[in-house]
Amino acid sequence: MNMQTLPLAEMPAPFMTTTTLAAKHTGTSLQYLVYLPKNLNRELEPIVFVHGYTRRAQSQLRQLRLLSDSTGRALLAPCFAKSRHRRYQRLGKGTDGSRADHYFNACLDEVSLIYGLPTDRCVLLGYSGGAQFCHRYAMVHPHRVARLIAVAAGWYTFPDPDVAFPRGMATAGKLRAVSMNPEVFLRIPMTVLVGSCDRTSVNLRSNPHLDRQQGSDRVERARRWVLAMRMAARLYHVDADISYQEVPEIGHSFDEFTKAGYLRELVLAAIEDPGPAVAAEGAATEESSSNDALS
Amino acid sequence: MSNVQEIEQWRHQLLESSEAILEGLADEANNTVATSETAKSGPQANLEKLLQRSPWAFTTRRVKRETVRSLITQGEPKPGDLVLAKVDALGHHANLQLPDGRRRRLFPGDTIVVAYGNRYACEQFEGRVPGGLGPCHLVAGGGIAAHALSWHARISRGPTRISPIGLLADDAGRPVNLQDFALEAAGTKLAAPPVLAVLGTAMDAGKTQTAAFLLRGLRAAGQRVGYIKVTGTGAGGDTWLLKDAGADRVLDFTDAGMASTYLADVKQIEEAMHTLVQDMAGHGMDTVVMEVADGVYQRETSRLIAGNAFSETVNGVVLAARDSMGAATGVASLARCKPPVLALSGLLTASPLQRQEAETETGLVTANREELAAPDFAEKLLRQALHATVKQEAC
Repeated sequence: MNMQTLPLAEMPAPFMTTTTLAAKHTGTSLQYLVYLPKNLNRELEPIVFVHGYTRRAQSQLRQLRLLSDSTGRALLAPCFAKSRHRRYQRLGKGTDGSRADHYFNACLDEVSLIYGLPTDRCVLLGYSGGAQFCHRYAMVHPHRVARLIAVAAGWYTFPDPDVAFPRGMATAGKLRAVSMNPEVFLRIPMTVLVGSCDRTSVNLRSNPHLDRQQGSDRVERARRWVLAMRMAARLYHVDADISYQEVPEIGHSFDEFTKAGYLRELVLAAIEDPGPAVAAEGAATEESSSNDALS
Repeated sequence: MSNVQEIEQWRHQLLESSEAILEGLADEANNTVATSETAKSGPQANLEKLLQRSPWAFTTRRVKRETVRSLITQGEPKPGDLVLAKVDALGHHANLQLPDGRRRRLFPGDTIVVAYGNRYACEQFEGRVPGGLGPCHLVAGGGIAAHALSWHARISRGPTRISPIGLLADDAGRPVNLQDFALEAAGTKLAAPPVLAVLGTAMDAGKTQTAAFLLRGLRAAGQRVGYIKVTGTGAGGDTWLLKDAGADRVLDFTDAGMASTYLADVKQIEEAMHTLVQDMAGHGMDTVVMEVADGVYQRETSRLIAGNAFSETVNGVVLAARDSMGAATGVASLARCKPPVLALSGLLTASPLQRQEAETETGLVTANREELAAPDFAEKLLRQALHATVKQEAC
């Protein structure tokens, strides 16, 4: 993939900007946002936030700035346009035939090149559809993920080799020639967050196979996935660090999470967890907007 | 919430209450795992019967089965460790090569004895020995267990999935490893027979066919000819073909205790080569045809042919290539290699035009299978190799 970049390296921090990656021959692109705190520590892995289905990357990133300021980590947010990357949550191909995770990698590589940030490994933070993307990305590219924080994912890829991707790890059809290695991805420190009132079916994929495997709402699905991942860790003899937090009185709302759910504190605690790995990650959202800072 | 202590307390409570929710749900799941873990104690008790019933793969053929006394169900496997595993689901490899050459059809639920090993095969899988005894894959029909990292796009079914039951262990509780049953390295150095190496531009360039027909030509010229394969992944196909071609003795790296050579130290491969050549000398071979797997760019192959041990062992090279450009690039890559490239062969010889191009570009002769099998031609190659060696020694 070719990248068209703007000369932003000299801009004073903090700033937010957009650059574009352009795919060879096709012109399909992936925009992304960058926020560099004043106290930027270039040694630390950046936090990469992935938006949800409603693609509110900009407003949500604004709400997450304090997270970046608190940690001295750069904050990045790719923007998967609906017209070009309809199925990014499932690492699906865009209109140019390139997979979402490949675009994401190109984005990280460009950020490393332009800003000199250590994007070989990142803290992944995804909300809703973004949490779907993040956990699947972590399963396929575990070496690039220092910590995974999945918030309110709609559904998950279970560590089940008998079930076809994206519900399971049998990748022969959808992610041909991709081999997920549980022994590696189970070592990624993970935090799964979900609001205890996130029982709505709005924007939630549902079908008999999926509901039978994972449950009928995000809470049930998060619980089952965490249990399945912990079971898989036992099977593979991996000392996994998979934390589950069901936040009371929160529905499926990024803004509720940031206002009443103390998302910043939860993510900070996950990042600072002295577990086997280094950093944390987040998610993007599906619902309405608010520009309030985290408090 | 502004107070740090309050936040910390709230978070602590959140974690506790969330874990309490999961605890109830986990009971049933834990019971399932406990059942499967209990089941693992079964094989310990019935190990002898289980091992008798399970097919042992080609790679395990040198192992004395009576040395197996127990199973180890935890730990980090090493290349060459033997593992008893259950077949979970069939993928690309639906058969297991047995020591006698039979391809044993696999069925889900079968238990098999295979060896852990890394695999490098451009047309099939890249596999690495996993860090634990979790589920993994059968990445070679000869009986290699590994985690498949990637595979060729035409392999639509993916790898066959297996679940290790345990590592086979001896009476001291140590894992049984192929290295324990390797040919003994020669104590005294015998005069080595001339060695003609067959290298290739890639997997499936025609190396084994080249080796087989060259060997037939040398035998037709009255030589006692042995065949060794020094790198690759443990599988019976190549050695069986060379036996069928009439080789007087056939050995490969598995006889030197290696399940595969991918990611192995080049010194270990050189020692294996030395052991195999010395064995050939000890068995009175006049000439040895030595195959080196994969293409000359492959990690272990490139390191091996760049080393002194290769130069000191090999008298000449026949390069198998798929096309003229591959042949020309291969010859250029081998320019720094001391043993001279004597001829070109492989798939390119099926095309008269590719042969012309390759000969024009490299100045080397090309030989198809029938030509290699002609005693005059084979003998001429051998003479050229010996002559080149004498010249190098004189220099």
